[in-house]
Amino acid sequence: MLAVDFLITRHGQTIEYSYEARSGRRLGIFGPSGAGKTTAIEVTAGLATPKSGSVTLDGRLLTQVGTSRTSVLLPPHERRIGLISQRPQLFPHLSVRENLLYGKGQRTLAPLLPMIERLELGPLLSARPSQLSGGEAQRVSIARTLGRSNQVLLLDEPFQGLDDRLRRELLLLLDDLLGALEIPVVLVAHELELVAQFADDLIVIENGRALGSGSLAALLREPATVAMAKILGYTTFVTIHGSSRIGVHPERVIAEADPTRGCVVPVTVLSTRDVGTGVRYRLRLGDQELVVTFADHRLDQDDQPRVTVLDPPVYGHDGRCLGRWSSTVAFAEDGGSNR
Amino acid sequence: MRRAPLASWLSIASTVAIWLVLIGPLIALLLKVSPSQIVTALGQPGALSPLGVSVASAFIALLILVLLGTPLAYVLARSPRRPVRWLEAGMLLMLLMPPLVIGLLLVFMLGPLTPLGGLLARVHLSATNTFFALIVAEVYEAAPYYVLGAQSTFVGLDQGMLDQASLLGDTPRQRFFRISLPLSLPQLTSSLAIAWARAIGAFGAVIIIAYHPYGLPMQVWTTLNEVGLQRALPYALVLLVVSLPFPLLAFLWSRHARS
Repeated sequence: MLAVDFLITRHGQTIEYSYEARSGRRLGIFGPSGAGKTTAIEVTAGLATPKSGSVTLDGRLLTQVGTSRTSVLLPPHERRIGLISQRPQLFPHLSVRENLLYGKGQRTLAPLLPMIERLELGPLLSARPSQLSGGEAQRVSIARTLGRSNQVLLLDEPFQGLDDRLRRELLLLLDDLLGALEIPVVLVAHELELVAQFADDLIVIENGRALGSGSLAALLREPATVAMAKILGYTTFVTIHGSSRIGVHPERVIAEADPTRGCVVPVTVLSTRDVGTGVRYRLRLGDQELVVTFADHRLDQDDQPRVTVLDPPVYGHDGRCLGRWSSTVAFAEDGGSNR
Repeated sequence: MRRAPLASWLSIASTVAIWLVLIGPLIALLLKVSPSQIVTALGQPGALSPLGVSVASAFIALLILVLLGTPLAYVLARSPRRPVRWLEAGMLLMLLMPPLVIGLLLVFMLGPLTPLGGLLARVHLSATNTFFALIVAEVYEAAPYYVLGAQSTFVGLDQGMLDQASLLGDTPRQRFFRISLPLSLPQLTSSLAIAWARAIGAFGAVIIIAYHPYGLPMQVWTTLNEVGLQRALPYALVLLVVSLPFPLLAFLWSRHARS
């Protein structure tokens, strides 16, 4: 178990939050650029010293500063923490083979052979980093980091800047290789899609603070506040009763009226567009707009069209989640609501 | 027919003009000095000893710079602390100070009647008109060129790459020798080459505290004063021949290594 708790000032911004990553699970640190995610990685790895805080790994203190207790600051090279960052950071004056063996104190690649094979690095071993493509360089970087016995693995916006297809491939590869690794894995990303594909648990960061944390599935299904819901991809908040609003996630809307599955909402179609994989609708719900793509169903536009927002979270006037939609509440067709 | 725009003709013409102006003195020197003059001048008894003095002193000065200047440059580059900025300002001051003034100030610092001069005397060294004084003067004149050059090289190192080396298990010392130094080598060599040209051509501080033993610049100066221009020119040519090839080669190599 990795427990990190820190306060640090960066470019005039105070960043203060804590996170826990359990062994064998993957934690996603998610938030917009500049929110203070990478700083958490640096503090964890010992690359940045917080004003105060601590880093504990399986009960062992790696960092402890700014408290009344004795200061501890284990240097990065003694932490056994692996980091795969946005850029592969291969050493340009060394061959791929030398990069893979860097700092391992051994001359043979034998223990790394299965990984070299899996990542198809065999033909590249004597190449220099400058001769590799972006994807190849990242594969070398993965092998170099996973090829040693780390106690923690940190992924800081990995594969950022590579094209989508390559990124998906590398993620799947990484997913396989991490497989049964019983260490805490922390992923930092500003794209929800990446986090959703990879993480088990999630902590959401904005402006240097944690907005919330928990298991990925629970957080996405029921964000605790409207602010949190907005960050997690809920685009539209529709008033249903007094000041109560339901949160609408575009991927949790179906093109039919089914009161047993969630909240049925009458809509006005503003425009449609065939996007090949489906039809994209711009809809009006009450006084809100929603953009949603239906892959296989078309909205019936002759009659009063209605959609069902699946099992949505409901928010009170203070923006806090009151629970999930209960089917006893129905949405009135005049835009108001009744029970 | 497409005509080359006036602007491109102008830029080519001005490039050639500036190049000719800069290289002009060298062309003039080569036109003025005949091979036989060089042979005659250098054939005189003892004529080659200034060459030996210059090469030996500049070599030792460079060695001192590498050993002391490289760590200093690394600290200047890597430490964010305020006192380090003062060190940097001091280096700039030395770079900007006229060499003649450096020589005068060295007399005040290291002269026989000063405390430091007294300390030197205890180890049987004197910083006035000795080979040691020549080295001191050359170090002072060349140091800022090497240290500031090396500093900017170290500043340019990719912090992410250095962090990765640490996380892969490198102590700061290992990281310096395995990553920082090899990656900086081409530019360090360039800086060292400039320092070499400055050290072997050092004159301003040298004429004040190390008039003797004669290195090449002093030889040029005294021959010019005592005999005349024609006899001084061969020494100037020799000075160019020993001071320039290393910088030129270093530049070519570092360009090649960086690409």
